[in-house]
Amino acid sequence: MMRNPVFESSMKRRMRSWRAPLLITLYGLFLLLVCADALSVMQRTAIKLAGQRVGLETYIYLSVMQFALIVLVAPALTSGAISGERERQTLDLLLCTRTGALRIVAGKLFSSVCFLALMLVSSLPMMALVLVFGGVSLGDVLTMFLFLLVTAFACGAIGIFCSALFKRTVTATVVAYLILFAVGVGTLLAVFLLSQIDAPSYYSISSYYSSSLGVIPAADAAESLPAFPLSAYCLLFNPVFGLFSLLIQHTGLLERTVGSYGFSVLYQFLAYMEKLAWVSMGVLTACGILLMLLSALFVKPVSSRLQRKRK
Amino acid sequence: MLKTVNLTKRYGAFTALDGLNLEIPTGVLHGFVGPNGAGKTTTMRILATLLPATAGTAYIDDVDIALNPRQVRRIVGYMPDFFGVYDGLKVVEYLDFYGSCYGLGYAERQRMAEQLLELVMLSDKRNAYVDTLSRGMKQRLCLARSLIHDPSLIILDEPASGMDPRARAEMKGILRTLKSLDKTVLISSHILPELSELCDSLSIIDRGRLIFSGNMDELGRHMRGDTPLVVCVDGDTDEAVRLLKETQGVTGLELDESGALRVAFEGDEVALLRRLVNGNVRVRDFHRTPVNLEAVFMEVTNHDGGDEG
Repeated sequence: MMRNPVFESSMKRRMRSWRAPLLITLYGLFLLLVCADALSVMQRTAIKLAGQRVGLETYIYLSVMQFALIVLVAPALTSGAISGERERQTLDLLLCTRTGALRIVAGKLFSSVCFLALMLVSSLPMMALVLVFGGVSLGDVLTMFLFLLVTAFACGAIGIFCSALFKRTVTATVVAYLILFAVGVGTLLAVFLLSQIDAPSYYSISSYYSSSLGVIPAADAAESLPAFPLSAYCLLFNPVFGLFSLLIQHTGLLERTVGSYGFSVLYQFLAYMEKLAWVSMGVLTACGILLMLLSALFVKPVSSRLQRKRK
Repeated sequence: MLKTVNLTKRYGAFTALDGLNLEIPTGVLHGFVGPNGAGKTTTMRILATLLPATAGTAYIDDVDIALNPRQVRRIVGYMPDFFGVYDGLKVVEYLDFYGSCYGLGYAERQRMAEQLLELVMLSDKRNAYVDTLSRGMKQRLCLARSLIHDPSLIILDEPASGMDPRARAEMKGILRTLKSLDKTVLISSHILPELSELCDSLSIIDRGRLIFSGNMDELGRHMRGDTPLVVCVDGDTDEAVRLLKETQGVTGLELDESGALRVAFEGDEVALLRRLVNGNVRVRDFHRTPVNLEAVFMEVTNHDGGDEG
């Protein structure tokens, strides 16, 4: 990627702008406030939490906040990548060089992802607080970092796809956020609706867990589980569930948060799919790559393959 | 160097280019003239592989632009009529970036950048940010950008548009230098007197169709407006008129309002001048009227509706 001139140029221009350090500073300040607020709330509770619990709760707060910021910021950074070049009338100058459309798209996308990675790295000292309190390992923190990076890549890919598709940056940005909303809410809605249609499958799972007193099954007991219907697997496209799966794995908490609001089946699914986060990361990465390839198709001016077919 | 065969571009029901057949040899500066909306920019964008043709094809250095666009981009440098620049990049970095986009190595990029900055007279601005340059400087920089990979064909779409007379003169100087470097240049412009001064040959396009293509002499002969010899003599013109009428190759002769003789002549002009001088005619001025490209342009593009913009 360092040999991609579009990537190098985009990074150079981005880091020379006053916006980059301002954004990183604001991001850090925001997380600091979140952290400080979480700690003070925990200090003020009637039942003093054990140190480890403080670390776990802080870890959850920070992860969720970072996730939310990444999902909000990534499309905004990329949705102007290609459409902005069109609006500035610089895209033609790029396309008539030997740098292909895919390299242009990849360069733009990865320069945004790298900037987001920089923001995530800048938040690592705060994550280190969690390690001080204990409860979460360094491996868990790094896994969460990787998950957030993949989420940034996938959300950024949606932005760049919209940027390639639409001529105006405003349109691309709006559509990118609509798609993210559709993925976030739509997958949940799909599972809910499909669970109504395929109620027996979901009921048998719910009954199984209820009869087991809601205990998360051990790996060897999983063999006797009724199979989850395929419709539940559409949650793999929703990074929110990847995040919750990781948080459950790392902290063992959230049972009440996810389970008690009528989402016991979802909690059970998350617990069942211990590796859901990794599978989710794989699915998000694949989707991101696919969107990147599609974006290149929309940016490419003349395709020699299409011309051969015409001839 | 460049050959188009029935090049056609349609946008739905509208035909922007209609069977364009153009041929440009190597090493010439070829003008491309036409009213707004004639199809000049469409032609140039197709040749720069930015737009697919609907039908027909074009060859640049015997390379089919449709089948091998990547190879074509190696040999074509394109300067569009409207372009933007990147903020946050210095002039030398701008050239370095595009050199990198064309696949040049670091050392070659640095060398070409320095040479081109000197060519376009921007050496003193190498560390200035691109977005701080004036319009004329940006145009020159964009020209340098189109040359960074040392292309053999340079396509310039109105390179002098929006420039003041001094900047245009500087641009003309650069184009003359390119001509001396044996580059093939396809240039479109609405500043026709300058174009007629620079170009070796010319094509005129209107409503997507080629009206004329050839060198400037052929243009003069092709059009109804001819390019007569103008002979100004001191004193009585009778002797000059007698000698001219007796000369083979003189097909027309008239005296204009200023007293100059306008002679329609095909033949050895040096011999004609010698004949007049030897006949004791006091020749004060002897020249052939240059092709008035503006007059030609107005004549060939004179149709109902005029300039359709």
